[in-house]
Amino acid sequence: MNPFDLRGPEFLLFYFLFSLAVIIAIFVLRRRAESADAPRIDLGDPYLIAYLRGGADEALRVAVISLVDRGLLVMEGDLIRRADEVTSGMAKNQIEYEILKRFGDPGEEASVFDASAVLRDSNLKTALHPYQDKLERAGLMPDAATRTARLNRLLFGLAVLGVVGVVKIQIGLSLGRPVSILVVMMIAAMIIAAAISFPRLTARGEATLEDVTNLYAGLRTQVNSMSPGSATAELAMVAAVFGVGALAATPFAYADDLFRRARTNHSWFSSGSSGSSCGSSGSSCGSSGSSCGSSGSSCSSSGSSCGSSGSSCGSSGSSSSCGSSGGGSSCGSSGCGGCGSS
Amino acid sequence: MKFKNDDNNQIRDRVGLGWRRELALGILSHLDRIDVVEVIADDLFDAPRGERRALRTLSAQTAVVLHGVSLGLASSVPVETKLLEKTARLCEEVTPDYWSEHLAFVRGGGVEIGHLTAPPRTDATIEGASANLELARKVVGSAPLVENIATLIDPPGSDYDEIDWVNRIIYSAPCDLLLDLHNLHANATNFGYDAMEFLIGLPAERITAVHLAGGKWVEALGERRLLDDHLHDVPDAIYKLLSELAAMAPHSLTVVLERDGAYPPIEVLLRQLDRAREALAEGRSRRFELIEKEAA
Repeated sequence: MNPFDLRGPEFLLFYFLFSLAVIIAIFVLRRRAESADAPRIDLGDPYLIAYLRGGADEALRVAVISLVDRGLLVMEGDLIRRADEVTSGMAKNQIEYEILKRFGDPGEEASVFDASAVLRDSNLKTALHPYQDKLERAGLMPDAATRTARLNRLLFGLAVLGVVGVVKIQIGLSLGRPVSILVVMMIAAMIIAAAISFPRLTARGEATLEDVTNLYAGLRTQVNSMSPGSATAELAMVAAVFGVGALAATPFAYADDLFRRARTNHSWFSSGSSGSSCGSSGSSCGSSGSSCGSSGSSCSSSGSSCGSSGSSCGSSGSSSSCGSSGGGSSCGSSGCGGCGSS
Repeated sequence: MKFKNDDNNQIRDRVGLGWRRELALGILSHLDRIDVVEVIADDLFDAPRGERRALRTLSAQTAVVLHGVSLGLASSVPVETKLLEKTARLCEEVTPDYWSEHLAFVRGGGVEIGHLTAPPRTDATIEGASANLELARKVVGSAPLVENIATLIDPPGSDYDEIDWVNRIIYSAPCDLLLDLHNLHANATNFGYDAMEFLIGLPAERITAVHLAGGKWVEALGERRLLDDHLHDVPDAIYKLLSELAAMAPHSLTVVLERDGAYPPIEVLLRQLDRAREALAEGRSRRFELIEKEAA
């Protein structure tokens, strides 16, 4: 059967299903091409994880929070400045070094909300570049070859959608039939195909981000028992994995407030290249990964459902003496009670 | 003491930590000092797919081993096939270096005890354990390492000493031993025998892995007992046992520090790993000296 012989409504149904098939094929082929075993990366580096989740913006956010918690940056109302007697040399790495430099000739306050300027800062860009490189090398973000493959896949899909649509449009026009619905469908299909072709992360990156969220699930509950200044590494990792939004209603709520104001009032991160508004939400973004890049707005409210599974037995497996200690009463307070023991 | 003709250079002891969510950051930030991570298998049996898959990402960073707590292998009651199948599925997903379980029973007559319990040391439990281990090997595809457990009471109705019982099981079944040195130490302390003699009485060539832990003194049954609670630092006596074991074992050992609560800063745990490495190195050094002497 020649589909071009189909009547208008029937062809529209055919074209709808055909477009759907092409879009699914593009999606599946991309995921298949970009999936691979988990890579070996530094899962203890909060800036790398933040970059994976939300790009340069997120890495900067986490670095600022980390520096504030360590007392190297000081918050004064809406402003942040480098603390007195702090020098850039106190930074642990290049990104912190550049941020400290950016936020402060001593005594001069710099607005945290002027992030577009921060992102244009070539030194900061240089400091962030290694993260992008690492993630690309690990296959978690698309490198040039992956981007080319994505483009080729999309162009092929667009060509197929276009040829079928245009041929029928020509036939319709030659017969004096209305073709506007088909034109709209064709354009819509092409837009959807393009939209799904270039997510910020590769399929491997999305999976790794989800895995990282699971591995660090315990941190979400731990953060409530931390006090400012005492657990910067944990704080930075919570912000990196779950977003600054995960710090709302914790002793570090100032961080969420700070960046919420930034999001609301200024363009701190709106000029960033990727998924930024999602980054500070911390909610479902953390576990979904891929949605961050393309659907930022849905993540804008801070939330807390990120991957905390909380199987308390995770911390179990303890004392084998429990078994013979008369029902384990002696273990009750130590947490080995109901989870079996080793 | 006879040694196999092993090559000193081939021995690569590994030292690591039990994976606990509370320790996730500490572990993932110090993988240069942690060679292996031990994950409690039972926590993942019914976990969402994503949680289990996360282990693959973990295993891409470092060696992962699985440790079970609920099979109840040392029992005349057959092990539950369902649990073995779950273990098999997890092993397939995670591809651990090995998996391990306890020489304990955890259920009987349809009742779950909820704890690892020392069974009577009899021929029946030896035969039961042997059959269960064979079944485990068939279902999972590899035999587990079996771990000696600590107990606060000497199991009533026993016909064998613990060492005889353990040896009989590992000689009758296709499995090696995960030797929990603190369990050994606690039992020896509580029942008045010499831990070092116990250690020397075990077949060193069948000891593949080691657990380290700490405990505390408690009053139990009107007596003072050492409880293996995994909430305290590893005592000095354990390092001495580890060093002795390293002097005996003809192959690489995997040593895992278990900590289940009252978590100290990660540096404290890392220092205990360092001490374990030192103990291993000291024992290996004695072993190699002895080998060289014998060769000369």
